[in-house]
Amino acid sequence: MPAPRVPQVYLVDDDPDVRSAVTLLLKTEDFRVSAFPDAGRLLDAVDGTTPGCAILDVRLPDMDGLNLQRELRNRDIRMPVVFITGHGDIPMAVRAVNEGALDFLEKPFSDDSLIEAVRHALATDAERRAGTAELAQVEERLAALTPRERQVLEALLDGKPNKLIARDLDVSVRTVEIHRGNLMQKMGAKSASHLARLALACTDYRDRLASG
Amino acid sequence: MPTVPLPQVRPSHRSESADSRIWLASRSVMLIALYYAVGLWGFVFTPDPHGIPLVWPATGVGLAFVYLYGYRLLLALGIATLLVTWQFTADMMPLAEAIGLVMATLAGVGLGAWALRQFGFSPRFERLRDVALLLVIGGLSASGLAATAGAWGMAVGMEDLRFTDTWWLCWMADLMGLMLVAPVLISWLGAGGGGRAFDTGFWRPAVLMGSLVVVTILVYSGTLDTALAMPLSYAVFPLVMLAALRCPTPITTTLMLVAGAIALSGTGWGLGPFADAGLERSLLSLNAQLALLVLTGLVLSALRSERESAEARARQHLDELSRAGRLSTLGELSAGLAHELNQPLCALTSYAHASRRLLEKGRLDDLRDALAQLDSSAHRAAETVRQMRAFAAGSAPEKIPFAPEELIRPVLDLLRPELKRCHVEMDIDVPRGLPMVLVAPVQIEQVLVNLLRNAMEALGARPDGRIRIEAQELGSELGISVTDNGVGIPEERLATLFEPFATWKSEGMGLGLSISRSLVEAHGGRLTAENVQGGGARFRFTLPLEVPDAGA
Repeated sequence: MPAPRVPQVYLVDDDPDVRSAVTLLLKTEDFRVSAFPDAGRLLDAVDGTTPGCAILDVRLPDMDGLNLQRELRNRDIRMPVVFITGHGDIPMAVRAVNEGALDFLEKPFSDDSLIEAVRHALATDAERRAGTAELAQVEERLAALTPRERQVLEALLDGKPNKLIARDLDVSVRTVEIHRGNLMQKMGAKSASHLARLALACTDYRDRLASG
Repeated sequence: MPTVPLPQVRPSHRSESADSRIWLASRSVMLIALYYAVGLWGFVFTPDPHGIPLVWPATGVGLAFVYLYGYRLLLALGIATLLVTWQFTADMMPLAEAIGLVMATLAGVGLGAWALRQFGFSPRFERLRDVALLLVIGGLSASGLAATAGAWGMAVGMEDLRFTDTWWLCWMADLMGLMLVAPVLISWLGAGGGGRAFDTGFWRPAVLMGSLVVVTILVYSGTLDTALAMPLSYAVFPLVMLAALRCPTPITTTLMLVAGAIALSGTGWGLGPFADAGLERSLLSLNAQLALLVLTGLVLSALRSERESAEARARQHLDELSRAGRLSTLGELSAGLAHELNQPLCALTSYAHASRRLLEKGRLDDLRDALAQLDSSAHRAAETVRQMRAFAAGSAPEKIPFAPEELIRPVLDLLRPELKRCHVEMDIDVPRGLPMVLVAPVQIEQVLVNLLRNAMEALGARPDGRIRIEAQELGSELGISVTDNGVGIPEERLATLFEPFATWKSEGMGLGLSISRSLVEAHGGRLTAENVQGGGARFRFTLPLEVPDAGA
């Protein structure tokens, strides 16, 4: 089943009453809601590109909420997760939050806290997806650099002045300046510091800095 | 300590003083009439001109009335004694002696009644102790004093009578009469509440009474040869014994009185197997037989009552123990049940919040739906609470006809959170339309909860855990089995599995299976355990099917 492109709230709770009540409540605020009785059916319905957030009961018939959260991560599904818990599941909810869940609500919860949590989760997801889109763009641009330009970029990130770069690469300072101008343009960087920030958004470079 | 029902004493409130006077008058008249009648009857057995009756039930009547209705009846007893003494012995006894006789009778009866109350005698004859108390106190005080006075009066009045011989005769006559008459009066009038006497229905006492009357009349009417009549006179024993074991005490005492009355009357008139030896000797031997009969009847009756009350106590203990077990189970299940209750509450609040928002937006059709759903969630929560309360019920559970599938459903509801948590697959094979069983539902549910929780524990964290519940009709019983595919029961545990405290689990006291077996046995069934081939354990129990026309 192709995942819908419109942000949705994915609700998983094994209790049909709770499912339909929470769905109704969220629909009064015009959220789009898909409800599932167990983890398996949620996993069938979403993938890494699905926009939205998940509201998970920590106790589910086929796996507990914590494992479902791990499974989502393993499948690179990074939608924000809000846990809802019944009595006595608080320790598990706390562990879930420690492992990256956005929030947890104890049943029975107030409408405002649920709606607030869902808004926050959807906003987080939108932001994350926007961030991801930007990152993809930077990576695309990096890929468009010539090997020479890449060498110049790396040298710049190491903080070397043009003269030193020219000597290292055995070219004229003028040539370095041309490469630098081209790569600034290709990367869409407005300044050296902007260029650095863009490049550092990519893991390759972050790791390089960390190791260097 | 068992409480002793006190004889009913009328409250003497001022406002009821008129009633109270009528009541006292009616009891007094009753006492005088009865006393006079049995006195009249007693003088049938006066073998010689000295006028010593060989059976004298009048003292027994006096003791019963004064014990039951209080010392106010002593006045009536005095009148009755005076009347009888004057009527039958005025020609033989000087007035002073007659008055002495009356006073001694009053003193003996008053002392006897006081002693009976003092020592906690129960008019229901439910304990061996009551039988002993009546005989000892009756023999020592009531009969003892009356006989002493009677013998003394006779000895003074007539020169040719020796005091000791007369005393012995008077005492025997008095005690025999007391043994025949007092138990009947006390057990009928003193048991209180009535109704209970007829618990066993009409036919059994009626048949016993009919047989007894026929046999004794046959024996004591003189139509049979002595050689046949003598052994036949013992036929009353099995009849009285049967009554003592199967009928309420008042029936037994009545049977004994009737047998005694017929035998004594027949022998008094010179008829029957005991009549040949002359009145005095024959009545003495008959008295001995009747005394044994009364003793047998009262003792057996008391033993039966003692056994019944011991059984009732054991049942009550089992009920209390089983309730404690249910409460402790409920405590262990409480986390899951709170979760179970939280789900509908969560749905309820969500519906309520949604309803408010729908109202604010004017979406009335949606609002109506939301409210209807809210209602059904509320009912679900109420149902969960009702089941918990029913499971914790403390009242002595009554056995009622119940459909097997209705026994299993609430158990699954109660355990649903646990079953879900353990990821156990349930396989229920309980066909609809199985015959009804006669059970205390909450106790059998407790057995099922115990067995299911044991099975879940045996399964542990197995991913392929499965529990199968089967019910089937087996002749006149219903068989229910709970089978798991867990580790099974260690062979060395099988023998001691149902003994109390035989736990090998880290939690719990090990009373679950022991209580379960007792509960099943209290229903007339059996609970057994075995290992199944290929791993796992099976617990089976049986319950008696309800027999629709199980009338008396």
